[in-house]
Amino acid sequence: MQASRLEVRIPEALWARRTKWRGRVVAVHVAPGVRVSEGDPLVEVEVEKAVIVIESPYAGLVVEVPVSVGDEVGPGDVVAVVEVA
Amino acid sequence: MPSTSGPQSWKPRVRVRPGGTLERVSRVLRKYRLATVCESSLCPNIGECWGSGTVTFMILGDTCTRACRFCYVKRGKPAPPEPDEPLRVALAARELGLRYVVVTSVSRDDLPDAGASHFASTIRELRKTLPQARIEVLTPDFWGREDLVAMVAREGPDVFAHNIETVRRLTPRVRDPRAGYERSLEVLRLAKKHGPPGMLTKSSILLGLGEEWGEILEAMRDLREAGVDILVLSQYLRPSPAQLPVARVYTLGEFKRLEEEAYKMGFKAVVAHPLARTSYRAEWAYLKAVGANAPNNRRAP
Repeated sequence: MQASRLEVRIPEALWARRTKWRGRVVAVHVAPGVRVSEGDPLVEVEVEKAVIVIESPYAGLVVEVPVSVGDEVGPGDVVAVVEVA
Repeated sequence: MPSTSGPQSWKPRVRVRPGGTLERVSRVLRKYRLATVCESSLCPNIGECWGSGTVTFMILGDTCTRACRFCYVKRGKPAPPEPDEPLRVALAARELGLRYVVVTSVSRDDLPDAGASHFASTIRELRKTLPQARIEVLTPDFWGREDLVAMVAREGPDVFAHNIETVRRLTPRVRDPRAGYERSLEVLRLAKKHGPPGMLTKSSILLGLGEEWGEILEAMRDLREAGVDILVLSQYLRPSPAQLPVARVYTLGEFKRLEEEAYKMGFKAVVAHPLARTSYRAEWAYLKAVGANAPNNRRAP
């Protein structure tokens, strides 16, 4: 069976009706080649009231992490690509 | 972990799991064109609550006529109420499978009844559509008018909440000039007076706006004397530079001490935590207050 590559995005749903917010990446917990389980922290993004820890919705192999600490990100942005068997 | 140093810089870490339940909740809200206080206030608990399938509806639009200085809800001239909104709330609650529905609103000083009849219709629609569900309302002050508070309380929500928000001394600085400490206490007394027997009342105090310890205890006593059953104590977090700065960050130990004091005063349920918000774990607080078998209050965030 072929593995599929799934993008993990910052949910569009977060506070979407109120604001087009942007946040700053303050931590990156994974790198390409790292195996993750469902619920593992991928990146942390600082917003006005909190630091949101984006968890992996999938178990698999991280193949891409397109963000770095200090990057500005917002809803819909890809923070990791996970290869799921 | 909260600390007492660097109040401006402390931010809670909250977890968000993309996909799944979070997106489903969002789709249902869009489908029925409903606002939530979760979004309007930039609530940090949105990942936890939506991720576990629960929301707090905000009726009467997303624009408030008041300008409390801690609040991020949009202010301005709101659109007229939508007569089908109560039904849409009920349909969304059913689609989400909620067994505990929390409904709040903006303040509507522009309406002749401040939105009381809209609250009443929403409770009626929810009862019709979801007869088994528990209903909690978190209302504005209706100018302290007895007839308007009674209009909502008589519909018999399981919990009638109205927030005192802060201690007496800070009220003029923190809340909109049309709000008042005594007025809010009166709203809570009136709700109790006109609600059916067994209806619980509830109120929240935001900590970290410059209050003294003794003033918090005074506000708690005042709420208790107004008959309030459920108390929520939470840490103020500044939503943007346009709101008041955080004067102090309370430790978990301090929240624990206040919780103990509150139980000694006779509150039936207390939710005291930096990330507590009025509707946070509302079902747990309700079950605790009525002495039912409350499920575990899950992990602390």
